[in-house]
Amino acid sequence: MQALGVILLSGEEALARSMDVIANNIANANTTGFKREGVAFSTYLTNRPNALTAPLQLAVDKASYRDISNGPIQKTGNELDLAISGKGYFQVQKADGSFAYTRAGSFQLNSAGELVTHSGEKVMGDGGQALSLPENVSEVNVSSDGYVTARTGTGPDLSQLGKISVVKFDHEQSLQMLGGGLYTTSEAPQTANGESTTGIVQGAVEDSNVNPVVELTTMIQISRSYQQTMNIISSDRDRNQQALDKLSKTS
Amino acid sequence: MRALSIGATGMESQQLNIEVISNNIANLSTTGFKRSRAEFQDLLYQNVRSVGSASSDTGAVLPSGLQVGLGVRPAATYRINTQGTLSTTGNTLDVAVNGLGYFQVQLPDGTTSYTRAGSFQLNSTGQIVTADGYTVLPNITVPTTTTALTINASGQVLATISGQTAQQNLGQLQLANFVNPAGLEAIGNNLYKETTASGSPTTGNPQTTSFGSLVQGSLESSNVDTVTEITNLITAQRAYELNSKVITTADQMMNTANQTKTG
Repeated sequence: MQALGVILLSGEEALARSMDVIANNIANANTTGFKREGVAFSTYLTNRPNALTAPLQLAVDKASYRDISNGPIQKTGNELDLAISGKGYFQVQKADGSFAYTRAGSFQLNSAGELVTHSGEKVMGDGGQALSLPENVSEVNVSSDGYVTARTGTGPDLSQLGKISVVKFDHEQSLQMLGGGLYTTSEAPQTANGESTTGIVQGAVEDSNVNPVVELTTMIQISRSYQQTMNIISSDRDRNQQALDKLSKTS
Repeated sequence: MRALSIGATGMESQQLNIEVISNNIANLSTTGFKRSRAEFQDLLYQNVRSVGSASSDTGAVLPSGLQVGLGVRPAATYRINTQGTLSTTGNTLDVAVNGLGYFQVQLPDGTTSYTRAGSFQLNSTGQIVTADGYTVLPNITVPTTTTALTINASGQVLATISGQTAQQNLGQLQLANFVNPAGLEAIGNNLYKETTASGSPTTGNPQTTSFGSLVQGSLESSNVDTVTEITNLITAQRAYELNSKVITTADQMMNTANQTKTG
């Protein structure tokens, strides 16, 4: 078996997949709450039949990891846009009743006055209830620890309407992405409201934490490595050809 | 290679972003215009290796999986319904809403639409109509003998008629409001239509609980902020460029693969 081809192919497949991951990062450079992903490579050893020679080392892309650092907070001026500064996720309920978590805090109201995401998932308040605002509210205020107060009508008093739940997890990397800015996990969430490391910023959204320069540089690197690998395949083919030519002359 | 199509989703989304921003800038001086913002979401993910799957017979579990995202999609373009600044025009029939509420306008097909643009006029029969000639509800007719017209903060339309000392009350302008005003559908000409997302309208007099007050002789300017829009435009343009770079690079990689000499 030609070992070289197998090794190079393993590297190339992993490189192509990293390119996909970079492309996704760049495509989501303006996506609210998006966290960039990276690919972790590792070597995979296979033993050759002849025990005297070293085992083959294949490259595999073992895992993609999420860079969970905070994105920049961007002001939008919309009072229902909420950003989490620091750690934590908003808890939302999908149409099937299951919970998901998101950092994309660009919310709106549905016709029932409930606070929902752009795809219609209900934002959960403290105590597992969907948060709803009464009709004709103005001046909605969301405090850093999640308390929602609003003026109803032209009344002088602000009334407290509930508390937006912000949750955290011990193992953030094990959150699985569902698309649409949502994450899911089997781990039970812990309340993070009011913690010094977590705060809600109203009238702003968290931009993606994709750094275009880093992505671009990585992309160039991937493209070059891919070319180099292909060059090795070409030169190996030439080497084989030469060997065949020489050997065929002697016979 | 998925990178090609992922790059394409990025370019498409940024194109939409630029379109939304251009529309905001184009409507910079449109009365009652509310700026929109394009919102994006990551598309679905392919699980190459599922997170939490066992990595050995002894039950070790992968701490993170390998998920490859498939790009981006526009999630929504939503209107930001903040109050625009009021600019004085001095025109008697220019009315701005300061606070919550929409004027009700009857379309030629008989349905009701809603607007914040209160630049009204009179038609040949003396009815108060919008700049497009659609009747403002409730219907108010101003007599031809009117010398001065007052619209007060609570929506009463009062006319001073020649030969009379007391002002005559011609009617009451009413406002409508919705549970979710962002859910109204913009139909152009500064008009909005009710949708299932907006909920049904509640009508009432201005300057009462839940409605804003009226300001005569003023119009509500658009809430577009030029600096914000231009900054967003630059960001969107750069993001567009970056996505086109992805496509070029992916194309180069495929080209390399195609041109490789093989046995």
